Amino acid sequence: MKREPLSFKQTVYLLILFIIGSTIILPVGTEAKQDIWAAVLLAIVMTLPVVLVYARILSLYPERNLLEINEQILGKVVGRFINFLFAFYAFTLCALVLDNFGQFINVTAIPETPLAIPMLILCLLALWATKEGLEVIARSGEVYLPIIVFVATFTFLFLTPNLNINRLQPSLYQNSGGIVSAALHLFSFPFAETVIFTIIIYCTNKTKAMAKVYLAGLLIGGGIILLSVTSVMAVIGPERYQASYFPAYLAVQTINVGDFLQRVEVVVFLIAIFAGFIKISLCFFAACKGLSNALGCKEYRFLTVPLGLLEFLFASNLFNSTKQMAQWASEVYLYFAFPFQVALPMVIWILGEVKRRGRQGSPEVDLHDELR
Amino acid sequence: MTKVTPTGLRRNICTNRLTAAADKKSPQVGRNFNCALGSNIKVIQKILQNDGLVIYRKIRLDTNPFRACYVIYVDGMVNSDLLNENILRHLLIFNFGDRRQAPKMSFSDVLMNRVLSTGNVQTEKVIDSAIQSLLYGNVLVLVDGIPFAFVIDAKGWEIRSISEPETERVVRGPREGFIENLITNLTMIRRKMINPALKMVFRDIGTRTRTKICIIYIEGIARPEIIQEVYRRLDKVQLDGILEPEYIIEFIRDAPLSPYETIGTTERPDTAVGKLLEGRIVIMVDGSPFAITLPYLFLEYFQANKDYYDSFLYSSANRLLRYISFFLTTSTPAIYVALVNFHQEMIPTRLLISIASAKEGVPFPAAIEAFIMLMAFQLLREAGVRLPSPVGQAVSIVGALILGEAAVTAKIISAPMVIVVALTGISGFLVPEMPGVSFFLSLFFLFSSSFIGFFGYIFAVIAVTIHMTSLRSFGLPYLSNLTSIHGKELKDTVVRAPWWWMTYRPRLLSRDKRRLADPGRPEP
Repeated sequence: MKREPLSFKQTVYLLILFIIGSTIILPVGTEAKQDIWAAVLLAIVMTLPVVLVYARILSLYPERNLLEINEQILGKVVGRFINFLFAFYAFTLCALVLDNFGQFINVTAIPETPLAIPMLILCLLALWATKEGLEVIARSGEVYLPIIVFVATFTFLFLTPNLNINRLQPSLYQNSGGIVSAALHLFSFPFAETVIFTIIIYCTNKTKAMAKVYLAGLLIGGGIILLSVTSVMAVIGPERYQASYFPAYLAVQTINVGDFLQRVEVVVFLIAIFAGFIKISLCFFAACKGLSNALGCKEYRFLTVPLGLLEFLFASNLFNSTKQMAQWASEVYLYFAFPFQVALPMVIWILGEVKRRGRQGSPEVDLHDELR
Repeated sequence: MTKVTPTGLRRNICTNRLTAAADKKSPQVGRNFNCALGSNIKVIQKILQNDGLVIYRKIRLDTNPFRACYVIYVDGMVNSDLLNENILRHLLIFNFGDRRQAPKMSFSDVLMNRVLSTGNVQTEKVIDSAIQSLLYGNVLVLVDGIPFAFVIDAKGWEIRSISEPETERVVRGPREGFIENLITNLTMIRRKMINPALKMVFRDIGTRTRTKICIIYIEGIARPEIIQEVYRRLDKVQLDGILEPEYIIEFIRDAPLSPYETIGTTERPDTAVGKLLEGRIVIMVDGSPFAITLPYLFLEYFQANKDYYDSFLYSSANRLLRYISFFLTTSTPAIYVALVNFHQEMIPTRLLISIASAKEGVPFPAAIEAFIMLMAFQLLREAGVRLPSPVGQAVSIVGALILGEAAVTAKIISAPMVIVVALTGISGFLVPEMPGVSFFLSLFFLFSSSFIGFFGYIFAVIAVTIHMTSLRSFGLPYLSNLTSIHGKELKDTVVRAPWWWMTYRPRLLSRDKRRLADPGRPEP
């Protein structure tokens, strides 16, 4: 199998797109109401130590991703079982994002078309991209991010007349419980979901400073999220934000430039599909990698087609309605994701550090040769 | 105008019989010349039997005793002045008996050093190789008692004169274009690049036509691994006949089924040298005025050679225009159909009303209309290309009148659709190298957006991006330098920076990256 190292820039781009992903369309941090900016900031601060742990794990074992590190630290049987769990997490996350976007397209644009159609197409595209390899996803990300930045900037400029700063007030007045709860939700979705990246990337000469990669991605992506949710909140206010499934869509709907440029929300959210596609592909890629590792195969590509079709079935049967999806996201997801985002990485990190300490003194083993 | 001569014809097919003889495993294959002239001639005549163009001129040399000599050449493929003055005449009048003229020299040395007064004379021992060069236009001289043939380079056949290339016209810039003769083309490149680092490697390719091709690169700039890869892929070409570069391109290109071209062609020596200087490799094929340039990246579709001859601001504007027109030519029908069918709310109300009134009475849905019109446009284009220009104009008038005016009046097509398709077609002409790609893309986008509107369009865009990002041209990512918002790499991609600012060659392409020794704004 040919290794596909990504450059620093590509990895950061992917992280940004991954964090933007479905966050930009969904109502996140509703509990914080008008203080959503504080919740986002808190969530970013909470995520910082966690991503540093992810980065540390990868830096401990250069040229290896989390799956191989697990095998190394925990032994073949336990490691593969843990890898299977991670693959399951990635698989589920992929289905969730797929479902989010399917619902989004279905609700906003094509209510007569069955929900399955956009989901199937997105799933097939992610399948194809995964089959072509990580490099293709990374290069697509390089194409998409400038477009997203361009369109987002213009959208923001056009939104400025509708921004009402009073909707963000009174600030920090309500009980802080709401902010913390919102921040916890934001931590689990989207920021700590970047644990998926530990399966995808590995420490190479090109991306030596994993911590730098993670911090850059997290801060830029988090900054974009902060800007977007705050401006959405300022445009539509906490009540409508809480009541709608896709608040950003509502906010963009209010754009009206000289009675000519109006109702452009479809075009704006076409761009969100780019980010969503990247997120779906990365999760799916991680799921394929994880499963192939759990099965003891070196090549993951043969898994793409069966797993992709399974993904589609899973995603289309995941929820009965948009309401259910929103409820699950707000009530269950936090607890579902916790082991994968925090608990398991912590255990792996500590074990890794211990093993590394034990290893010191003995001559360094050339890990690369040992591996393949 | 191409002058079709019997020579041109025979140059393409001349080796058929040779190979046919080889196929029959005749005993002559691989045999060397021997000292007996008569048997040598018999062997050659047997291989070249039924070939009326080969001329055997027998001469008795002025030696003591008389020796016979044969001058063999292909009629029309040699320069007759050279043949008569420098070969035949000297053979006829030279006094071999005169010891003062040739002191202590062997007979073949005398021929070589005193008689055959042409530039390139070589000796050839193997009969097959001698015949090969005979058929390529060389003159063979066989002398009794000498076990090899003199191969004299006296090629000279009718060639088209150098003229301005039809496909790549420029307002400003050199006007010469490649012609069908390989050597002339190579001299055109050599004249622009007076440097020993310019390498030209010849190869024979095509099992029957044995077409000469030349691989050209600049040592120190081109990356050696790409050159090796080119050789490796050329070795795999086992086609019997090579008449045009496309025959080779389809064998050596990456992603052979993709509509995107991963190997470029050009008809202009200046473009070829420009590509060489960027670290690319150029392959010229004898018999075609088109040179292959590789690796070919997506952004080269948008780089016209005239960009480098005009002022950089104007060129940059033109280049941006080309990118926009690529977007327009691929996406206009799809966006129109998506707007009209799915997202009417985005159209300003007055425009929506006028579109609706124009569509009043038109029986087809917008997607079918767009498809019909796109096909009609392609029909007209294809009809116009091959016809002589007066007829071509007639076709375009008929097309414009009937398909445009009459179809709208008869309520078969709505008027906005005509505008949309006209925009698609016209903007397609700004990127003339990619008619196939933009046509396929526009159909694909139209198809997908007619099902689920803008989201279908964006799914199609994602699919195209996946395909394009997975493409490579000789190891280089097809979209490299284009997917970047990095200033250094933007200089010759989206815009054309001024020459004094383009310090570096394209990043992945070349070995010696620096192009400009002393960058900086010129200060007169």
